[in-house]
Amino acid sequence: MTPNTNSGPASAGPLFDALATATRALCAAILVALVSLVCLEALLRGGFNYSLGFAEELTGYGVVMMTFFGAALSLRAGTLFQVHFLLDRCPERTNRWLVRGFALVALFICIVLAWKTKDLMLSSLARGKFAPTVLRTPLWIPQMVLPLGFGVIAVFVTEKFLLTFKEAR
Amino acid sequence: MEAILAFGLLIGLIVGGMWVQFAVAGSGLFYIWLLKGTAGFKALGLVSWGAANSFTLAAIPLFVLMAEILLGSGLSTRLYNGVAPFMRRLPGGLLHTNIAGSGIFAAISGGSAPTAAAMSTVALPELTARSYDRRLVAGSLAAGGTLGILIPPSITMIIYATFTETSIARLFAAGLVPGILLALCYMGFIAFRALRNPALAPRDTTPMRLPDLGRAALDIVPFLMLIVIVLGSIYGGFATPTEAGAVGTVGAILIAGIYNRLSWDLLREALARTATMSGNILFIVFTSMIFAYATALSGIGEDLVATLENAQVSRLTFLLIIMVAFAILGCFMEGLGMIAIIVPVIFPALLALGVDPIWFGVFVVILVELGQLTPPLGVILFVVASSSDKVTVEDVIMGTLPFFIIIVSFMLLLIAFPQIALFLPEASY
Amino acid sequence: DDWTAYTYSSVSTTSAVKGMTRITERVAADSDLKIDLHLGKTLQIASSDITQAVGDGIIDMAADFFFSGTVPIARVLNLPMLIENDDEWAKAYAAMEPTLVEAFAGQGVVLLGGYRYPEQTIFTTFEMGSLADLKGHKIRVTSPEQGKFIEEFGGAAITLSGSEVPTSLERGVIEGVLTASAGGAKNWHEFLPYNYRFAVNYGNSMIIANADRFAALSPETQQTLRAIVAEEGPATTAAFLEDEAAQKAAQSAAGMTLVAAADGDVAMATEKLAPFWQAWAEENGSAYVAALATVRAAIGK
Ligand code: NA
Ligand code: NA
Repeated sequence: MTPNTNSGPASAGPLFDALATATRALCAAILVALVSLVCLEALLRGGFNYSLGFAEELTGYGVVMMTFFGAALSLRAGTLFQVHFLLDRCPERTNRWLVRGFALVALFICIVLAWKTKDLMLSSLARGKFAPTVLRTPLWIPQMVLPLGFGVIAVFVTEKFLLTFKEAR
Repeated sequence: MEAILAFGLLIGLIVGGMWVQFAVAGSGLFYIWLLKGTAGFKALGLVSWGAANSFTLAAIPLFVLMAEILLGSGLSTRLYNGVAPFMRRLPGGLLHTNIAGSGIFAAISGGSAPTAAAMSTVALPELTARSYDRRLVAGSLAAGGTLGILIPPSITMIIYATFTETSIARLFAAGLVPGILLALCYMGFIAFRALRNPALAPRDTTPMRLPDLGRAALDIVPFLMLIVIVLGSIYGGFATPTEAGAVGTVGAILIAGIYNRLSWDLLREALARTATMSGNILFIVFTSMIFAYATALSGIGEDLVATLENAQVSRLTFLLIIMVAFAILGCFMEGLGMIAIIVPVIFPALLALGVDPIWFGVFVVILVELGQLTPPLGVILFVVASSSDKVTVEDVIMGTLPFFIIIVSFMLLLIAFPQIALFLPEASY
Repeated sequence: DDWTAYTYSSVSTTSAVKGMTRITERVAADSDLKIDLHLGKTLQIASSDITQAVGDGIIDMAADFFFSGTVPIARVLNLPMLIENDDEWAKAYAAMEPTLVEAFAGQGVVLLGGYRYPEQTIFTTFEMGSLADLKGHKIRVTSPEQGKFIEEFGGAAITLSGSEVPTSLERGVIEGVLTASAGGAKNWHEFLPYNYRFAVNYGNSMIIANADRFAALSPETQQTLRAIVAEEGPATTAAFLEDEAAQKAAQSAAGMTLVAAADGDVAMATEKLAPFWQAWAEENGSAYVAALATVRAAIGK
């Protein structure tokens, strides 16, 4: 697959671009927050004998967000790990059909995982489960990241699927 | 049987060219379905949450961000310019800095993935631009990553110690000498390859005068400042190994500021690249945990060990079989999952055979590392590959192969001379 | 029937896992129920998610230590300084049991029994002669309630991931932990030269089963399972007490300085923390106030 001539990965439309821009901004914000939070905790603890008490908890949530939103960006940028050995040796037509097949399977996986993590979120909500920390975060809130994240990944998988038709023309 | 089907599907999908994370997740789901039917899928919510919600994994984005800032600000180019004149006479040149740099990172970070990610981000672009052989570069970086959990601090050793109730301090001490020796082996191999085929590591032959050397040394200063900040924060009791990534990021920003290399564009670009790269790595760790859940559910590890225990073999055979078992499981499992499945079950048998638990800890840590270097699911292979678009996973695999052989030989050496690991802890405790 | 069981503990040699193993073996021998026990961390389900995992039927049975986010009312038994010895624990637990059974039932879980760890005491890298010595020192805590205790005596309550504790102790990022000799201290003792034998609180684990799966068992099997857990729970507690004594001796022999609690420290700390129990209960609602009152009546505090 060759990317477009101007910057950014191949796009199937402005809606996908907008979602990617929003995801990128969110990831940047999470990274800045992670660095600030972890440094602040170390600084307060080392310098002032004080612990925020929630740095470990929030950092974990930050990692969850980075995992799925970051993976979504990586998928769109075409950098998600892939072994090109066989793909590169296939005729273009076969290649396109392979990518379509992979995209459909990936979409199915995303839907299953989004569905099951949505169930988890609802279970935590129904149980009134919270993090046993000073924040007492109701866990359905950070757990909402899981179905959302799989949803965003699914959108970009769909884009990859659509792009195979665009390239075919 | 289920294991063979799931593993077969995994290899097929990866080699076929599917996104690796989806290949792993897909065959993991397939494995769960084989074992428990669709009812097994209801665990996916909690397993996903348990796998992704982790404080220690934060080390990956934090260290990658630090490396991206060094790279984007040009400080890393400056570092290599500074180091290069001093490495001119060494066959292999700057390739040795990959190993030495990984060793320094290993003393900072508790894991292999952060070590390999940070080192590769900086070194791959720099060394490929200087026309070093990209396979040798990639291989040395993947191998250097192994030092991350061998040289203390090491999260893997802490996990092993909790499973076996062995001394963490002794384990840390036991990993140090093998870590340094292994690094020296890597360097020896690099020098050997470079002597045999000088094209692999281009040598700079322009004459060099003392003032040039002085100027070069000055170029190393910003990097030394960063090392002082990060190592100082850890050994001064200010930050934990995971937090060191955040301290390092702030340090890198400060130093880039001092050298007037800081800009909004640099930060924006570093953040965007970090999001993509660490999302990629975190997502593969995540999906491999889903696969590990299925493997644990199947009880395949326990079966393997039970067969082994009943076989009444000698100490040496036992250790060799364990190496093979880890190698097989390592092909499709994540490191900590392997320790969790194998170590508690074989531990009594080991003690009965008179194997020193501290020594075995070092042995297991190296085995875990090997698992991260074996295809199809070698996390470190992918980490190195993801840090530059000039290097493919296939390149990394080919480049890592000789180092893989070095590591296996080193393990045999460790079996023959257990004192390599045990000397230091026995001397200091 | 074929059940999957899980325990938060990953150490096969600990009293907790040995107890769970005995339960699975005895149940297999005495009934038609077969239980596969998986050790902590093998199933990628976090320890703090075990109650939910059993309630949702992902695992059928478990040893559950980190239930405080799902069944927070059970935390009343772990409040610092409320329960001070084995005798008080027995009385308090008996009084709380109906409340606990009901609370776990609300999560779709049958509470079969449980076991208790020995008292959590203070392990430090600095010398301690009394609680006043906590002042200005960084102590790792595992709950906000423990944090309250440390802060009450001028210490800094630090939260830190368990995997970072050893390195942090070695380098002075933290200067102490609250744990049992037969618990965390077993792993970290070499970084902890001092142990102030002051019982801050007790930690306990519940043995639970999924309500539907339990109901599906034949009445005889249910009875067998309950009877075996009722025997092995206390047996595990007893094994822990024995292990605690052994660990104390081993740690002392390895060079750890064990200091008995200073005269008057217990009375003083109990008095200081008593208003906190009440505030904690009131903050959480009337059920907690009632539970606290039940426990205090049972132990006469
Ligand atoms: Na390390
Ligand atoms: Na592998």
